[in-house]
Amino acid sequence: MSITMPTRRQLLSMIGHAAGTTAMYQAMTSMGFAATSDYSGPIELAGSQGGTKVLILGAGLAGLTAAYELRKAGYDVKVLEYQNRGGGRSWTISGGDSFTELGGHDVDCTFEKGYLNPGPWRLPIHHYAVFDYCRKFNVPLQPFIMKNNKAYLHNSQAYGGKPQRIGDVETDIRGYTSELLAKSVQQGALDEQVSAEDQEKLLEGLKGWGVLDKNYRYVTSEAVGEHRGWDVLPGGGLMPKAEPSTPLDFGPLLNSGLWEQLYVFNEYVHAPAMFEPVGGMGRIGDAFTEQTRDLIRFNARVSKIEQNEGQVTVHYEDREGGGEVMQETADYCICTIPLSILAQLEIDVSDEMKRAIASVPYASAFKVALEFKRRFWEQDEWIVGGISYTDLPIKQIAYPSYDLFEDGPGVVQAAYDTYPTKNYTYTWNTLTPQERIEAALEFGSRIHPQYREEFISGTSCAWHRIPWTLGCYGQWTEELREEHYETLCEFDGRIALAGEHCSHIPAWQEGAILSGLDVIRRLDARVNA
Amino acid sequence: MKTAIAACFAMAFAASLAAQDLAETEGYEVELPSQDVATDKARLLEENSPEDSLREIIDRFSTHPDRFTQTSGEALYKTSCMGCHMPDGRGAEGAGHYPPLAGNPKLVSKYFIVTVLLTGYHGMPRFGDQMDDAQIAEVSNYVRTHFGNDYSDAVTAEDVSELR
Repeated sequence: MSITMPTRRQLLSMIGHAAGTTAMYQAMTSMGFAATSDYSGPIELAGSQGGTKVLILGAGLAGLTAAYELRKAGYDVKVLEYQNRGGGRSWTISGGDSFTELGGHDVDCTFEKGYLNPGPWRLPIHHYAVFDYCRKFNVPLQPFIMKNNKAYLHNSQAYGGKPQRIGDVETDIRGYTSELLAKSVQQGALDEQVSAEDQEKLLEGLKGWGVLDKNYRYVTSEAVGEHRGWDVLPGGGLMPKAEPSTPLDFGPLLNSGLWEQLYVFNEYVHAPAMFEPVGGMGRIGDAFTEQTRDLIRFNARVSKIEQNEGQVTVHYEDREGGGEVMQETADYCICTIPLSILAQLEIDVSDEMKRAIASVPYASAFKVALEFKRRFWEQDEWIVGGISYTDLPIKQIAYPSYDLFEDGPGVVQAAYDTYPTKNYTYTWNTLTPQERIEAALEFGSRIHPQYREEFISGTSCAWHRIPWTLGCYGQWTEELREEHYETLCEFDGRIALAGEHCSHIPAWQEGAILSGLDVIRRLDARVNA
Repeated sequence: MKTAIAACFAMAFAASLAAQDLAETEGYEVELPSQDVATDKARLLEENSPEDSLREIIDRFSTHPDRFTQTSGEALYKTSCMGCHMPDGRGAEGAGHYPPLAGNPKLVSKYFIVTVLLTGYHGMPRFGDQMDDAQIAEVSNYVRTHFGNDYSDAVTAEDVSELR
């Protein structure tokens, strides 16, 4: 059989024709996001013999990776951080936490158990650097259930608004596409592409893959029951005879929009098995902070970054000491301040670098978590972990992968979206914390009617209301990267930038760590040149 | 036409930058109603039943996932700009700031705000792919005639189309 693999451009064009530009855009971003980490084990630096001083701005994962490794290699390191905590967006909100967001509203969390990871919340296995540091810093990890065939796909305009199980939709799509492909082969439509011998193998493969009957049709049968599930499950003794479930009709299924919702599971970054730290993603940020705490000055608001041929001088306000302006000098500065903020600061760099800093918009994103009196999604619907997807503005409901089958209250991530071309996430950012909870309850109750009855409390994060990021992450486009990315990552005199925005894995912790490692590798080479 | 508008934009932009510099050196202040969260909440509770409040929240979302479906400047402001520039248009301040739209001298030029909306500016995302010409015009006009702003040279959908 000779099938030529399509080029990336051809593939995008095919997707564009088949599913419209929205799907094409999603495919493009997912290709960009799916870049594999090239982490090749612990970094080895020549080190500093002369006490070279490095000032790091920002105690997120990029900054603290650099701080940890540079200190180990003998550098004199200091970190300035705006917040009173380290870890940056590697962050978990749990019961007892509270903060004031831009606009003046307080966000509280009163969860008895369970938490919200406002930023990163799941680790793909190819993010090798994250796992290596988790191992090194003893951060315990557990499986994260990304795909659960019992979770739902939901389109408010399809099936009378009734959600469908992921496994049903996927098995049916596979069945019908197999049936159609088999028909095409039998009708000679693929004679030019597939030899007669290969056609037989293809038909045989499709029969098993799609669970087709002897006439290559996808219809209910015992075999379909064994793949798709049962209306009456096989039982014991004299219990009723098993009855296989019945596939959804092809036309309505094709028009339901649910197939598109399945694409997310095909992405490399979402491939099983995925993992998460026990106790929340913030455990990673906490671990980095513990390793470097003595190097960090918290509550420091940077206002100006100067450099000359000999040194870098950073001006900052002590947010606790009545806004007193302080200075810190160093031989080099690694600046991980988000570009949304850095673009507003006075900084001595080239015009080209200034343009690069000002060019990257910050993506909108938000999450809402709700605490319920009982884990009704498990107890009533047998959804144990995983994620349901919907066309409603909440976009998805993620069920916890921890404390499974326990009695008592549980927390779901009840709303999350970040697609930069979609408008819902902007609207969520306009709502007050209380309004976000009410909206998440209203939309979610259309999928889980138990919501209102079981609700206890909620919390949220609207990233454009977070004072220390002004948005969620660097929203690159191919054009912007072409024009500005290299400039942004190169040293400008004694200053170099790092962070997820200086990586090809934006928004992921792996991108931040790799960026931090790459910048210190280059710094170390300069110092030892 | 496009060149003329671009030139005009550049001049107005330069003028507004100069105005900004002046304003900054002179420490300009704008008088605005105070932003009082508690009062806002009390007012909402007084005027609206819980059902009305919920309806207002749900209705703030567009009916299409890929583009804004609101048509009035006010509704568009409340479902997008307000996230950062806040209900009173005064922006906000953290590690960095969201600039106030209230009394912002850059709004002197109608072409400035349209260009910012179409292409993004500093960390601000672009809205040109989610709002059509009429929507960009409406929301620009809303901002330029509220929050203490009172500019009479309205943006038209044609202006937006020229700048795309």
